[in-house]
Amino acid sequence: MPDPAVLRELERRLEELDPSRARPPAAGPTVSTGVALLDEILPRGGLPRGEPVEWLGPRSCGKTALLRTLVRRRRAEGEPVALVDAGRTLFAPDWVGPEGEGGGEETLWVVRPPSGKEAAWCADLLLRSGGFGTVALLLGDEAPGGGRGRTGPGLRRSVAVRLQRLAEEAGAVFVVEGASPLAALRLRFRSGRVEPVGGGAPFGPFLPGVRPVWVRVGGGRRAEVPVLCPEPGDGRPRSRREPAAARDRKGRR
Amino acid sequence: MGRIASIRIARPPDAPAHRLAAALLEASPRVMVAAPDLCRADARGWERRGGEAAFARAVHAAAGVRVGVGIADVRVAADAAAAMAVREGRGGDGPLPPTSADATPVDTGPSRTRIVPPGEARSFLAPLPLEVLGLPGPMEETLRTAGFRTVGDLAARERVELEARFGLEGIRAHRRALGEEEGLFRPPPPGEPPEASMELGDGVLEVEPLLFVLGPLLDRLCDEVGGAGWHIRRLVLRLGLEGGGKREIAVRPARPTLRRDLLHELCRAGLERSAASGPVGEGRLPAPVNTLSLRADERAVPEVRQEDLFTSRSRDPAAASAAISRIRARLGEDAVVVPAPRPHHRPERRSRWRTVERPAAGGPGTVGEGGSRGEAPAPAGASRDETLPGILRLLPAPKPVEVQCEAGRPAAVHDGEALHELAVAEGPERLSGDWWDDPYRREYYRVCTARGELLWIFREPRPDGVWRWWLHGWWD
Repeated sequence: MPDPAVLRELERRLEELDPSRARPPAAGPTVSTGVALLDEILPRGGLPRGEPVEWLGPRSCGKTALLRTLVRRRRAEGEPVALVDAGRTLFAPDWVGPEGEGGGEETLWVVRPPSGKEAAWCADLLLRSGGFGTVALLLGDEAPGGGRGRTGPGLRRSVAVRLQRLAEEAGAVFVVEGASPLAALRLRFRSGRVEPVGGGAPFGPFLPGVRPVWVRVGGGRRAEVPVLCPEPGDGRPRSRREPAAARDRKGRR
Repeated sequence: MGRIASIRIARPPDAPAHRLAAALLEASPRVMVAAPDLCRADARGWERRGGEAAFARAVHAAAGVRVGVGIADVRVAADAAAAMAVREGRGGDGPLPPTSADATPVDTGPSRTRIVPPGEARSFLAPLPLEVLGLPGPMEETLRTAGFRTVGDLAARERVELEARFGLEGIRAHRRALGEEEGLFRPPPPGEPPEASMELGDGVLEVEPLLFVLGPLLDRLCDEVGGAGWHIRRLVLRLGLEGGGKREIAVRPARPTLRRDLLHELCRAGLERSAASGPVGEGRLPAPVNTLSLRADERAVPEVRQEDLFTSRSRDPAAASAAISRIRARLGEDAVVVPAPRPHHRPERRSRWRTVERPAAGGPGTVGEGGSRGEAPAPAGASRDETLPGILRLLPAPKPVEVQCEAGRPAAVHDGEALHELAVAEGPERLSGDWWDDPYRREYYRVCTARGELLWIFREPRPDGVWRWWLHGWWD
């Protein structure tokens, strides 16, 4: 590695010769999530490099949508991204990059281990290589009813210690979709009631609607990010068991 | 015409032949273990590096123990020359009497070398006793009884006479005496991929001994490939099994490389998978392995990537490739994939993943620690007013569930653990097709549980006409 002092001196002399080469000062070891509303509430304005980030929430809370935005932002900045999909539940059409299906050089690799037991080992290898700027470990949801407040699958402490050290050495963004004992940053996601697009009475979660996702960060800071529900239907029959107005935003009667 | 080097251990307990053979790969790409105290190697290819004398010195240096080296056109002559060299190294004691044959001694210090010039194997063997031919005991005794004492006595006779007196064995003995035998090591034809091989004297059933000799084989092959300016894109590990069978294990790193540690690890994973999948299992191969060879099936020009001098940290694509290769070696070729969806009505077929062939060298430029928010323009992301689309999570295989219906529409879902009341059910969306291949007929419902989970369920008729409900995924 070249001597940092020599590099700085070279940069200074080059800037004297050519002011257009001046580089803005580094903003610090954080990266944007790609969601402005979320970046505003995060400490230091982004996700930290080299520190595990716990990305936790019940099923259908919107955390995957936010994760995909993060992945797209990292890829667009030219950073190789690796996802470890322990549950093998990612839907391929949602993860195609801007360059299209298979065109150009990929910057996203998805590891789909045959069983969830190898997921932590895969994350270990990916972080240890130092070849990926962002590694996300999706520990997998189980049956419906993961429930609000339940942390679901998580890392053992010994594994978390090792992965935390590797992330630090690699200087990579390391996101764990699951409980992570040594997370430096914990994001809690929770979804609210669907609001109709354009006002009017809410129909339900699908037609057509926007569902707010609340993200809570330690220290009481909270942001609300709108997430679209699945594509509006074509007017197919739907049934509702009781008017939505009778339920609060937690779905309780 | 081949040139064979026989290397005989001066004091057999000094080193086992397998270890000697592994060390000899430094000097020759083709080595075999012939006896507990004898190895043979291909002595060709040193014409531009100082000739056979230099080859002999390299062999002695690689062996690490006192050995006698004999180099000749044929096996018998090389073995005899090696025995002579051992005897001379001992100061005259040894299995053969001294001879003023044409073998040229090469001074290599405490170890000795005898080189029989090309084409002179017959004259070299002539004065030597019959025992150097390595004939079966009864045949040798028969020839001695018939009055043959030296190899030259046998070589001087007509072959038809020997055939008449001793049959097929007589012909074989005569051919050996004349120095006629097929080449022991065949060089790869021009244009063939580089290869390094080793013959193991006794069949090997365990994986660990093979891994021991794999390292020197890889070193040899990488030196040869790298010396020509190439990297290895695909490697084939070939096991020659007892009984004539063969097994090939292909190793393909994610990126052309000459990294021996990575290639060794990938070969190791291949061998262990081969052992695990065999009928015996538990780290034992299906049959004893007699030969082990490595062939660089595909080679590629090494990739050169121009880095930015002022980037404080860049992501090394070679390291990323190595990690991907290791994951694939252990978990299978399709463990690391990229999304490659295709249009299809069936959701699980729409979600297609493609095996990674060649990881990218990184996006435009490299990303350093300075690549933080606010530095580079934000090419993708949600602004304050933007709404993100919901993402589907699809189960690898639909999961059977029990659904309670009211007025023919889903009202509650039981997943085997708990009952989840449904607040909303939208559908059915009917999908069917593939009648010529794998017909399906499904009615999909998008439902929302009372707790706010957005699930995707469907029902499908069974052959007996009863409808069965399944959970296919959820939105998150």
